[in-house]
Amino acid sequence: MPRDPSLVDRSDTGELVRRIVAEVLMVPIEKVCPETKLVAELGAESIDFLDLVFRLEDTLGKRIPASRWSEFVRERTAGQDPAIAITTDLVREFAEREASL
Amino acid sequence: MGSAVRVADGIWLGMFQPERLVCPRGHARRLADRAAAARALTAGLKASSLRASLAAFSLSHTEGVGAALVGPRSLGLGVDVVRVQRVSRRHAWAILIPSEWQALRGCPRIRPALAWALKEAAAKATGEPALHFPSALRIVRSTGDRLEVRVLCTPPLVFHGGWEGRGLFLYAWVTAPC
Repeated sequence: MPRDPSLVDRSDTGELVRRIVAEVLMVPIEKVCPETKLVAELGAESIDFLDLVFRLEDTLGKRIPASRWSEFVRERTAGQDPAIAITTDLVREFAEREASL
Repeated sequence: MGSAVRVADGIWLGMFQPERLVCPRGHARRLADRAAAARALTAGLKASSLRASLAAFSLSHTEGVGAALVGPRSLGLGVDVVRVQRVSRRHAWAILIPSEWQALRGCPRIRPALAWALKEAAAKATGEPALHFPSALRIVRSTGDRLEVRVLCTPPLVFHGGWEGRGLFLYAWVTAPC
């Protein structure tokens, strides 16, 4: 899988993640802001998050185990309601972490 | 319309599918989904004759369709509903090991969707879905050809699995053995 060079530049990661979220959840990109709650506001389901991981895999050109997303969410949202805690910004953080590995 | 089927002694699966599937997006989707789950729960409770305060239940919803597994309060149970075509082999292989894919070999048309929905249902039944999904759950086919989901914890948990297809959607559930 070819690696998308735009993800190497972290200043573009936020915009890339916004675009991926909008495409996976089939909502206008204007509705996807850093603080947007993907479950509560955009109706994301668990399988949608796997699609987000797949899009990041395709962009980064490497495999990302589904369990790594699960572990990341668990560690970053401990004690919080996932419907509120999983935001676009959280996905961006995950993308940046995966890009740096 | 809401409907219910008995899936085991004292355990009912409530289902709701609108007459015409409409898939809103964004927040409207979440509202429609939750309403569908509520209607499925109503159907399940009615069929079980259990009062809500005396019942255990698990809910699931997707694309305006709802599912509710209802049983006696002490039971561990979990349910998931998914549109069969929504789940690809890529989704399934992301959450399975090869032996699990093999355990589902008798269900070729729904295999990826069944893999996904069984694991989701089992994760809910543990009470800590984020902790267990997907790697701490194992789909196996037991002696007697029954589908089970085993939770890799101490002590290990075993759930009995089942499923029902309705149109485009698959309902999968797990229950703790009595």
